[in-house]
Amino acid sequence: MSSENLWEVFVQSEDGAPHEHAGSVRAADRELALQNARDVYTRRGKVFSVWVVRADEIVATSPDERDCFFDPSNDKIYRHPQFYKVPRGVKGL
Amino acid sequence: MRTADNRLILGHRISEWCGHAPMLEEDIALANIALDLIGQASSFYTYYGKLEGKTEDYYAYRRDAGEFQCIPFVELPRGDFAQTIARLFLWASFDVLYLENLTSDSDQEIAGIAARSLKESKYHLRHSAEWVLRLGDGTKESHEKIQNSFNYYWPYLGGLISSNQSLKGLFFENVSKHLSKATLKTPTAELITSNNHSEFLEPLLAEMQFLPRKYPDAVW
Repeated sequence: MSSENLWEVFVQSEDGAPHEHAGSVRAADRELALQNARDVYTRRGKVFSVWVVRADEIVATSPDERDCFFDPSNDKIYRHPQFYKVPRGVKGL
Repeated sequence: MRTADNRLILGHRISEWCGHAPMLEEDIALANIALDLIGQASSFYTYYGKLEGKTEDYYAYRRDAGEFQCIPFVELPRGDFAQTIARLFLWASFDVLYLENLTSDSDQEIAGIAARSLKESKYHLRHSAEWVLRLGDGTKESHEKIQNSFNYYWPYLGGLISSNQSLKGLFFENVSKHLSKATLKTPTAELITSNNHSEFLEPLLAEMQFLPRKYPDAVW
């Protein structure tokens, strides 16, 4: 099967939670992709919603771009929020 | 009891695909469906077991073919993928109506089992219905295979509807509507009303019951 048949699966465990990448499935079309995702990734545990996205529709960085994309993010300490105290009672931060 | 036996035997037939389905995702889908059906049988057996003082394992593993009340429709071999899908589609089309009816049963426990099973059966219907569309309206070969599969199972529907005449009209209406959507012909063959077991039940039981028969003291 070609990469056209590859779908990435995102699973949301509860209302308001982020859809997290669970894995991928092969399927010939949208409906079967959704059903396959349901069968492969949601049969154990709590699930609120599932997304499937055609893998070739995802725009991704390439490994050689890593340096210019991500390296500068870790060398400036003031970008990190650890100087702030988290107010009491704030959850899910 | 008949509905429990039907679920167990059909579940076993579908479980035969485990490790053999045309692709990994469908393998898992069919195994899920088989497990759903066997789970439904287990719920019904547990219910009867309480009335008769027996365990669910007794019903599944300690009875001979003659004591099973399942119908030939579920006993027939799984055949190829098209046959499996055609039978599952017919089964689920009927089962959704059957269970919907059963959710208003006067026995609360039966109504509860029906409500839980109904959610699963609706998915079985959705999954098999989508495959019927794709095989029917797919290639010439897939069209022929699924059409032949419907022709093959059709007469055995007699067993499924014989004790549920009130669902018959809606069932045939739903099925033929979907078949024509899938560019398929609704078979016109006459229905078989006898529910005598087919020759396929005994070999199935021999395989399914082998372990508890050989090792009667085995525990889970």
